Amino acid sequence: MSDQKTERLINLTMALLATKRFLNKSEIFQSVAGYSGSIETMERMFERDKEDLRTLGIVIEVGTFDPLFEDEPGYRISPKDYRLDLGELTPQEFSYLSLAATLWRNQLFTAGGAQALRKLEGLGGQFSPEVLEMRTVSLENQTPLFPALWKAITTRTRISFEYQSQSVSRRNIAPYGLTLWHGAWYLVGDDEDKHDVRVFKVSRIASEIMETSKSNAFEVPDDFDIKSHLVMLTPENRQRITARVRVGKCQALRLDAVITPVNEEWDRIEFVAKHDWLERVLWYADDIIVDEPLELRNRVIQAIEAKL
Amino acid sequence: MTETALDRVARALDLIPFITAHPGLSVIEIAERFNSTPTQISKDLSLLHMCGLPGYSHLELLDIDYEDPNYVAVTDPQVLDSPRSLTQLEAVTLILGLQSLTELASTEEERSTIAKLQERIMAKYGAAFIKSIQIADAIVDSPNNAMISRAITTESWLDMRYNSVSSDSITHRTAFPLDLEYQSGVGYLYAYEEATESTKTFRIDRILDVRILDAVEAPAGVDVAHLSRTKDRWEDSNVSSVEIETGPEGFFFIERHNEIVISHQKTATGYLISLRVIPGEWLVRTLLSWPGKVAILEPIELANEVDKRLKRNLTNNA
Repeated sequence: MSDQKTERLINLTMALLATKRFLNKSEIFQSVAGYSGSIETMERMFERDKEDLRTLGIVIEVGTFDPLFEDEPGYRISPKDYRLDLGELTPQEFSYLSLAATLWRNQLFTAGGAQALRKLEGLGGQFSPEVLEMRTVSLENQTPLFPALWKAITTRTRISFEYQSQSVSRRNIAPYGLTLWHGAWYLVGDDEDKHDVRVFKVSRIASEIMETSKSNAFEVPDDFDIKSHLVMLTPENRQRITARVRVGKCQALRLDAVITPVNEEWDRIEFVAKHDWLERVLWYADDIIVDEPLELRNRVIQAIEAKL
Repeated sequence: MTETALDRVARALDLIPFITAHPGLSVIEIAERFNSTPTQISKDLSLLHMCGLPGYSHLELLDIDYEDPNYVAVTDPQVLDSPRSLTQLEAVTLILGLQSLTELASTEEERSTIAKLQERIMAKYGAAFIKSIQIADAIVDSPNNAMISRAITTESWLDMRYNSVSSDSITHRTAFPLDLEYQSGVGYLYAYEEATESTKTFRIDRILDVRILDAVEAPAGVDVAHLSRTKDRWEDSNVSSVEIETGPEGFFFIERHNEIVISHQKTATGYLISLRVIPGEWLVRTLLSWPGKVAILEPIELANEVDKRLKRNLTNNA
């Protein structure tokens, strides 16, 4: 971008922020440095400038001088909307915010955090050194598609992508939201072909995100609640498992189990099967024998036979 | 990444309130805070120097003192005395960050201060997206976190009871904590272990209990200030190549063990997967416990070992 345009955008922001009344276009063209050329050129320039400032998150109010007359619309930026206002911050609160800004690392949040930190520092608050010493954790969460998904969600734009499950298929979605569960991001949205809200693991999206509509193409239902769509959050059908484990072995299973000695070689344990029970049992190979229920024991045998 | 057109305007608008709040910094220091170069910041300052309010007399221009690159100050910021409001993305980042911090807080008082702060940001900036982004479970899910975090802060040694799932054993470990990190929902502690004189990676959810050692109990004679903070788990010279073949559900194997998969190829019946890994107990058990079909093509010793254990397992259960 040329210096001229940067300068004009800064001057425009300052002029609209300083004015108490709405400024119409001709006043802007006359008073704000940087507008020149024919009326049409200046109009085009101004339309682009407005769009650019909105992209930066600057809210431009549009209104008229006198609501009773249909005047030419005027523009201004409300200082209340423009300014960062978090109320009074103690050094401790200020430090927590700074820490929160840098905690997450991914394609989107690293940038978002750096920008937020820059603004927080513009508030001139004091840091509390003992809080900053908590800076020992980083939350790594790399998801290259995150920025595109976030944009589609916030602008309510329909999208299309290839989705990899056991096979690959193209999905057409009105994206409603994103959720983080067990360290992985999930997209929740209305699947236009299935006419139902579905959940997609973001890491299984196997193509670029293609926007297939203009923005504001759909409304998110008022009663939409991300968590109600996550099947993984529904209580599992838990069963108790009784098994024999070799003495001194299967330490992790013993932690949550009721243990009864059987003989010198074996102990009996009783534990609650969670979703990963089969992997947990197979992990300990011949150090564990599932006794009951018989159905689960058969599944262990089937899983072993499938590998031989 | 090259600077986009609007990045410069954004930075320029943020520079004025930042310098107003921190007068006297050098151009180099400002560049560091803005993740930019001193040359770029100097250019920004001379551009800003030309900007101001309509009229553009010396009374209306931004008044910036930057002739001495070691001392930059804003004498008159005009209307740019306050930072810009938060964008949705910035607010989301802060809200998610604060949520994680509540989980890391070591006292109830800390937790409550952070939670209130999070509510404040949410109320002011979160309305538009509150339904669009949510964390469905705890990010930091171990009660031992706060203790470990405190030990790193206070540079204290830890005594841990650790469940090593690969060797199927529970042992006491004395270690000096170096860093705590979360990847794909799993927390890892990097710590120097006195007994082996090396840096080890511990999964936080497998630390059964932990206590901070006082000065008398802590190992003496280790120069903790100069410990290596290398985290590369694959530096070990025992790493080798392993080839496996799976059914169609191998896709989930690739997803789960992404850090050891170096390549994969779809076949008519599933996947051919190449791994780069230490072919020890962890790998044997990982292959044994994978609930789907898996055949080990290379190395043959690994294939034989897994086969032997599967047969023994089948005899036991049948």
